Amino acid sequence: MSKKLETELFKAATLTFEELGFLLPTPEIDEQQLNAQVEAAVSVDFEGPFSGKLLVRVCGGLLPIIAANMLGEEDVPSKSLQYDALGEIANVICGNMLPGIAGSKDVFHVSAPKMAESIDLPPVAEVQVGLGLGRADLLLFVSRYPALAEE
Amino acid sequence: MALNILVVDDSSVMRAIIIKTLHLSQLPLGDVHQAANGQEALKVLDGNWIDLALVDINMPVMDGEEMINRLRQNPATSDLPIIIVSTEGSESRKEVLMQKGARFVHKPFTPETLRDAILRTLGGLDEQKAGDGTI
Amino acid sequence: MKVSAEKGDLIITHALGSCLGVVVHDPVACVGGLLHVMLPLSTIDPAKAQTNPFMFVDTGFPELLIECFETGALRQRLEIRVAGGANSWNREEDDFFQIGKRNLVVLRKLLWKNGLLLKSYDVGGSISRTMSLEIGTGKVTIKSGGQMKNL
Repeated sequence: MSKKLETELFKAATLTFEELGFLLPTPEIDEQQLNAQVEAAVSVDFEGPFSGKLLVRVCGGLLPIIAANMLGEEDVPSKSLQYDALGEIANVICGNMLPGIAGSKDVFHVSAPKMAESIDLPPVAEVQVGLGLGRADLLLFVSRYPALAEE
Repeated sequence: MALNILVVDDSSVMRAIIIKTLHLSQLPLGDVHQAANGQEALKVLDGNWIDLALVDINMPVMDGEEMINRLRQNPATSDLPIIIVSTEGSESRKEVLMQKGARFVHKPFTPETLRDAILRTLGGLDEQKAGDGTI
Repeated sequence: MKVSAEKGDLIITHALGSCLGVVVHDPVACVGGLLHVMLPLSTIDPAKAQTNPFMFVDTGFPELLIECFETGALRQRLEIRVAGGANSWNREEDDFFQIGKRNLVVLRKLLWKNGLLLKSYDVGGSISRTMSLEIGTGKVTIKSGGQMKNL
């Protein structure tokens, strides 16, 4: 099950970074990307047949690039827009991942993105995506129906 | 005839993306209004003539589904053309919303997909003809 | 890459597999061009990009636009169409390098940044395409798998 969660998470992340962020994601992480400095992390909560949280963390100078690409601008957007952009990336990844895991019948409510806080649970799935000189870390936490996490 | 459009999404970046697409689509645009949730959107609709609303679903304060329900209960906005722009993946929820007269554009979208959905909704594009090619 | 202002000209390019064929046409000035690009980013071989910018999307597409403008096309009248970007295998997930998809991501980024939308497109799948442009009419034809259609 963990493999399926990671596959769906990676698929949703790739789709979103390509189509919304105009980036070229890779599953392999090179040394530079691995050592890239953490810049920001946002999370979105979701509630439905199972509930939890998706955390998206970016490293290596990606935050302004993501925002500028999404807006189609040359200039670096404001910090507020940069965080908004990352939040929307997390929102779109989460929304596309959930039907892949749960099927298209279930209804989920996805809450507004927020700055990520520390989480006590271990993630049920974790994926890293190489993006140019940086990388994105995606961690999926499930707080209800732990059986989903253990399958 | 200038089109007044309302864009409803809690992400200001997503609103900017949609508004940029509107400008690039060569539509006869009038006023473009923005709202960060359903409640703000209803206030805008109260005070302005709107020809088309582009609406997200998952928003704080009042989500898109509740906003659409209230719109449809008001005779002044019961026929307002609506395009939902959302990641919504539940077929049943989409079906309910489409039965309320809304079209659907799934995030992430290309600007051409949004443009074509707008043209179809406003009657400017045949159902058979799409940006992906054949006439 | 070929740009022309001769109304009788027909520009054709063949074997658009993962490559992209990009057509730009000004229907008033009757100026148009067709670019056949192979790879997304020139950063993988800057020396090659100097001698043959048309090999890469990020250097080739700007060159196409520049030459069309120099030949008399106006930005606000441009109609842009694209074909190609196919997978190397039948299923996208089996196409390890995903060159076709990556070519399209880079092109879309340039279009978005430059405030340009596609008039129409025929991309993806797994079959090679032939693309032609009639300068006089702006008609773009795609041949693929034995079928012919207007784009």
